[in-house]
Amino acid sequence: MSTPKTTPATPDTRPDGPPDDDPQPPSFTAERHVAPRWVRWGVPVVLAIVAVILPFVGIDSAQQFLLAYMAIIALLAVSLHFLMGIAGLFSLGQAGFFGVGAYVGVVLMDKLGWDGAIALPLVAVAGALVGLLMALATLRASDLYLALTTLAFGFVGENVVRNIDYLGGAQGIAGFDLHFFGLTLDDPLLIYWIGLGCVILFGVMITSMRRSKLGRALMAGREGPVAARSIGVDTGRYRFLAFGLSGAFAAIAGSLYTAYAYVLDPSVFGLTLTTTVLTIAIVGGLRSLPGVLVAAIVLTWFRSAVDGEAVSEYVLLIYAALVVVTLLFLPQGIGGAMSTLVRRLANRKGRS
Amino acid sequence: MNEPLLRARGLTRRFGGLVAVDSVTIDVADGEVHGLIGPNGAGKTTLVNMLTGVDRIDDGSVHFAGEETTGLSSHKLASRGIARSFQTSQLFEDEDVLANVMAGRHRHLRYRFPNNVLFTPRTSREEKASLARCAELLETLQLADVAHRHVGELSYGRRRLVEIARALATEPRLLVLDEPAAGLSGADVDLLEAVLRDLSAAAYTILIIEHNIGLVMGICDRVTVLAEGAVLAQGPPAEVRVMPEVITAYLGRSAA
Ligand SMILES: Nc1ncnc2c1ncn2[C@@H]1O[C@H](COP(=O)(O)OP(=O)(O)OP(=O)(O)O)[C@@H](O)[C@H]1O
Ligand SMILES: [Mg+2]
Repeated sequence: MSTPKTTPATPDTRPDGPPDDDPQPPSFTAERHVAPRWVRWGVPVVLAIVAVILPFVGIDSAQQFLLAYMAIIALLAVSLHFLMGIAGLFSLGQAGFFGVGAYVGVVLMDKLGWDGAIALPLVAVAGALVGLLMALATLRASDLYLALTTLAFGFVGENVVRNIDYLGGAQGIAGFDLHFFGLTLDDPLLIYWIGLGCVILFGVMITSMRRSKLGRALMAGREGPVAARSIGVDTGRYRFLAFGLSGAFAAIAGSLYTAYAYVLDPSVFGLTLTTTVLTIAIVGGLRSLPGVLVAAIVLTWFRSAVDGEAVSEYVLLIYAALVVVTLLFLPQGIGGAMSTLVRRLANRKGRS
Repeated sequence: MNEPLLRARGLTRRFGGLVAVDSVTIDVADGEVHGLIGPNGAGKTTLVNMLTGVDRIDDGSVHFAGEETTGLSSHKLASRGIARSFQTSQLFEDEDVLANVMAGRHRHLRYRFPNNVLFTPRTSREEKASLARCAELLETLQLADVAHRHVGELSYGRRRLVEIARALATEPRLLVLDEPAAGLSGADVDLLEAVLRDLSAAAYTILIIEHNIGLVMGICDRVTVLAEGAVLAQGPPAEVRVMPEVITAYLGRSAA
């Protein structure tokens, strides 16, 4: 047996800080990849570019609104993917963040008349603060209690705004004057681009985190809190971070939604929204960013396609059925199916 | 005399009426391999859980590396250099072997939040160094061939080795192992023994709970015998194994 190259037990003097010497190239890579590097990088970049220039192919106003709505829902779904899939925190609080973002956005941009360039980052801060509060309230809770406590945040929010006249009470507020870098924020394409930008930013952040310390700490806390702490991960602290980051982006989605809908009422805190993104996250595959994005696009498209038709009454029922079918036949969701497919294709190519 | 690396005084843990650990005093010297043995239910795991911050300390004190650490939580002790394995393995089940071991590098990655969310050259540099270290550990524990296998697919013995690799990835000053050889095949026990010898030669300090007496006799510098929560004997393995009270504890009262 080979002698382990174990450095003497004086850890604080070990080469663990910023490594100065060139590390030996290991015999394997950090992750097992089936697709070559240019595919892994090229495909997302090309898709992002396509998404950005998509509106220029000449689409009508209804389609523009659909794109904007897709971007908003995708952003919210990705925030849930991060919280539930990556950090493993089963939260039903996404509507809480969304609602807070919607109201804070309207107060800052409409009531106070601030530009979105300043207001949207502040909305993110507000969402993050609500996230921290949620983490604090659920510090020792897990699973069912965690889900119920986070759910309660939405109810509390809804009841608070219902009783504040300044925020329009139960009727809400209709018609605003919102601006983003001086442009009027009622153009669906502008909303789409902002939403898309946030999705891309958050997607890059999540992808990067999963390859580094923070993502691994979240993984450890998700897979085994006792073991995570035994290797020095302060699981409580990372919980705050997960809730904060998820809350920030979900709140921005809420703000964009008000601009999109042009009305704001307490229903933004509603359960329908939570159910929708939960369905998207599960159908897409909780751990898979591409899967969640695909599910967000497809389900949002489906929802708008059946709008006005008789089936639209049963959308939530259909969602529930989709969740059951997914859990039965594709426990890893669309994302899991996609990676299996890619692996099969790669194997086939490898053999021929 | 040198201050021991780990110094526990009068540690007590009660579960209702049961005193699982009864004012136990134990020293682990720097660089020694210290065995913790005793019959089933003697309180070994509970004691180790108290020393590593996993369980509460009802009474007594712990000093580690010259500082009082009584009641510090598990992650704080881990960042000070105490790593451990668990009696029933606690792996990150949905991940591959390498991800499990890489997670152990947590306290050695110094880059901050921005480097996490935007994979910077600094992130890349530190991650590469981490990866190289983990590759080394996987080679040592003969796990390199399963680096990208889910831990759930591994044999029982290899799962135990993954847990040790993860603990070693934290570069601990004190490595605590709770029955690492339990359920291992003969070949895996030999591998484990060789690994522990090498670690010992590399001046690692190890506290090991073990029922395999052959292994304990082979690698331990000193052993502590626990019975019914209290220390029964302490000393070099050759001396301890012939003490009548130790033999009695192991064979049971009726046989005495
Ligand atoms: N969380 C708990 N609650 C109540 N009793 C406990 C708890 N943990 C341990 N005990 C009891 O404390 C005593 C010591 O248990 P412990 O697991 O420390 O023994 P051990 O020496 O590790 O035994 P083994 O060799 O079987 O692993 C046992 O009687 C056990 O039933
Ligand atoms: Mg035990």
